[in-house]
Amino acid sequence: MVSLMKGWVGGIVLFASVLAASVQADVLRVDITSGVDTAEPVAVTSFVWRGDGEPPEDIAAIISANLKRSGRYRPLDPGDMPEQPSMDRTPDFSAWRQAGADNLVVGEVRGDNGRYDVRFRLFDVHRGEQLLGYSVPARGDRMRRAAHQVSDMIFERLSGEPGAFNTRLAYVQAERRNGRERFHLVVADSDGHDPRRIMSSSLPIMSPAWSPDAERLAYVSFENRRSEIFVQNVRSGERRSVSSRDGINGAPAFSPNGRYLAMALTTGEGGPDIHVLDLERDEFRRVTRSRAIDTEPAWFPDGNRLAFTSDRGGAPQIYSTRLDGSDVRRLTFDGNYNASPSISADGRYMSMIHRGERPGFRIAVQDLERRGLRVLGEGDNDESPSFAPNGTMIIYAARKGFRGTLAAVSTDGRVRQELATETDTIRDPAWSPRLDAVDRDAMN
Amino acid sequence: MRSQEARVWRGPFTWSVALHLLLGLSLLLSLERDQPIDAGTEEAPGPVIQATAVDAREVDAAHEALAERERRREEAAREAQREAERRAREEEQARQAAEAQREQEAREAERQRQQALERQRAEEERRQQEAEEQRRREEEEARRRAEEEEARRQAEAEERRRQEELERQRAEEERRQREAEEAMQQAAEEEERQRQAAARARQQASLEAQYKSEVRAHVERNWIRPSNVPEDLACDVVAHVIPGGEVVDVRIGRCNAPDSVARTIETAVRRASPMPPQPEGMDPKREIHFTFRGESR
Repeated sequence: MVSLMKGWVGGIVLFASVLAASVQADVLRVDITSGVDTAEPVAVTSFVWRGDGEPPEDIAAIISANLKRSGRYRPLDPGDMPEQPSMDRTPDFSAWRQAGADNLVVGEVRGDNGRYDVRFRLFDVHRGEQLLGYSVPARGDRMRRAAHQVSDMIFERLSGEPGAFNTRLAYVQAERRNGRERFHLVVADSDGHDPRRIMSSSLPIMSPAWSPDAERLAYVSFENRRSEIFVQNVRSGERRSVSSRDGINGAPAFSPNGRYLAMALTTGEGGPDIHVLDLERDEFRRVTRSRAIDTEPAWFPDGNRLAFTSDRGGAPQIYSTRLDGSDVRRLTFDGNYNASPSISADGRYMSMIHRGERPGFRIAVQDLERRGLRVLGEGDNDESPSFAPNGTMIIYAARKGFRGTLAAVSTDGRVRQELATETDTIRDPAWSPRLDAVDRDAMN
Repeated sequence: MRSQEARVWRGPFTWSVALHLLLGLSLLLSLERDQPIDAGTEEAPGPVIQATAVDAREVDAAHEALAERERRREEAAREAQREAERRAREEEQARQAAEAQREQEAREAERQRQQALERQRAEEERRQQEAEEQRRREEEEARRRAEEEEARRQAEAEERRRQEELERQRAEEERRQREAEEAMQQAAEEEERQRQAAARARQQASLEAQYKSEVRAHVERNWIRPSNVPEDLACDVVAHVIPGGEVVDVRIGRCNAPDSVARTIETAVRRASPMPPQPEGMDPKREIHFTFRGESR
């Protein structure tokens, strides 16, 4: 309330001064309507280790990589940093401005008996003021997660949007060993680190999808020599089969409230149609009715509409419909192939696999409000885009020959990066919702 | 007792005295006749005694006796007398001549003395007169000098007044002339000023437009425009610039952008420091009022 008042009074004063200045000759008026489309320079200085032995993780490196991957920020090269500031001292802002940084992260890690404390401050270099100051406690085995959480806090403070670094990725890893293929369902950190297999099979696994609480994964498994949809608890490994009809059981997607699971099911009338399963009542509802192939449903954030891929127009395009199957609209018009929709959490953007005039399938993003479509990918066989929960990044599988790698692109297309460079083929990545944040203490 | 003795002896004594007196008298009388006293001289030699007749009868006898002798003696006396008188007269004449001579000399000395005195006096008088004259002259000279000095001073003062008056008149004349010239010049200058003001305003507008476009391009290069800029963005920023272009203060005014976007705007203006150099001849700008808008993308 006080700050509101202050702002109000300040506004009046400024307004008055603007009025007074409007007749002064020494005032110039300039309208600014455009800017540059580039990443904001930020300096993440090395986190000083205050403990015995080796520090468990390079926190600054994790944060820098995260910020860089977002496309929004361009971390300074450590060689260009003018100083190593400490937590207890005001940085030399002028030197950091000279070095070209807009913002500056200073931090330290305190360690004692396997318990750690990640402390950091975020400064606006131009205004010379602290924007953030926190102490995040963490166990030794969760230091990366603490670093991701710090990254989120920094990202949120700078961009005004929630971060998506303290999240996970699920993907399918296809392993060829001794002439036999082996498939794993893998869950990793958002930066691809710390992959853990939660299910393995000698038969294909496809299309993992996160529940909104990030506790469960739905996926298609052929372990029983037919397609079958399972919902598995990520932590406990406990799972159940929710659909194992004859024909196709594919492309599961949790509704935003986690109660429903949309999927593509064969009905015996041509290609598969979109259905919605009520997970509580175990009831199916058919959504689309067409002889064409309707698949890859994706929920809009309000939970009332679904986007899906259909070749009902001849070539695969993306459509949307209400849950009762009414009001079907075609969403994509650019290119001769648009598939695998993923809707950003704010409902504004839709990512897809797109093929236009140039041959090859690439990641593209369509602005659903303005109808503009932008191709982000540079590969020629991208698959399975999935929005980060904050909409700033898209994870996808980039196939090169018969290999596929995990790649991420910022929604603005500025930054593309491969996350895992394993020799195995990676497919069908899915980005989890935000994980619960650990406790943290504000510092002044 | 003394008076008694005197009376006893008074008679004979009286007689003796009388006789002597008589004798003396006769002698004197004879002398008188022979030696008249020159009354004309102021200094008569010897005293003149006046005999007093005593008793005629006693005298007659003696007198008769004596008369004869007397007569002779008188005769001799007269003769002697005449001789004496002659000698006396000669002596007297000599004496008188000497006296005259002496008197003449004395008179002459006196005259000379008087003359000397007179001369001295005249000399003194002359000196006094000269001193007086000198003093008078000096006084006259001093007075004359004082008068001259006064006159000179008055003349100078007069000259000064005259000069001042001349100067005043000249200055007045100059002033009138100058005022007239100035009025003319002012009119000309006013015209020139208006002409220049118009030219200057045109030049200023042109310079300002040039500077504005430079500032705009410069700030736009420094604005890392976030993707979530509202389409209807209107964000006012006031930047204070000092000579050299350095931005010393940035304040966000009315602004409908979220905080993170407003921050990029403030950062853009701060990062744009120093602003491009202001064109030479342009009125210096100390404030730049930016309005960041979201219309074009």
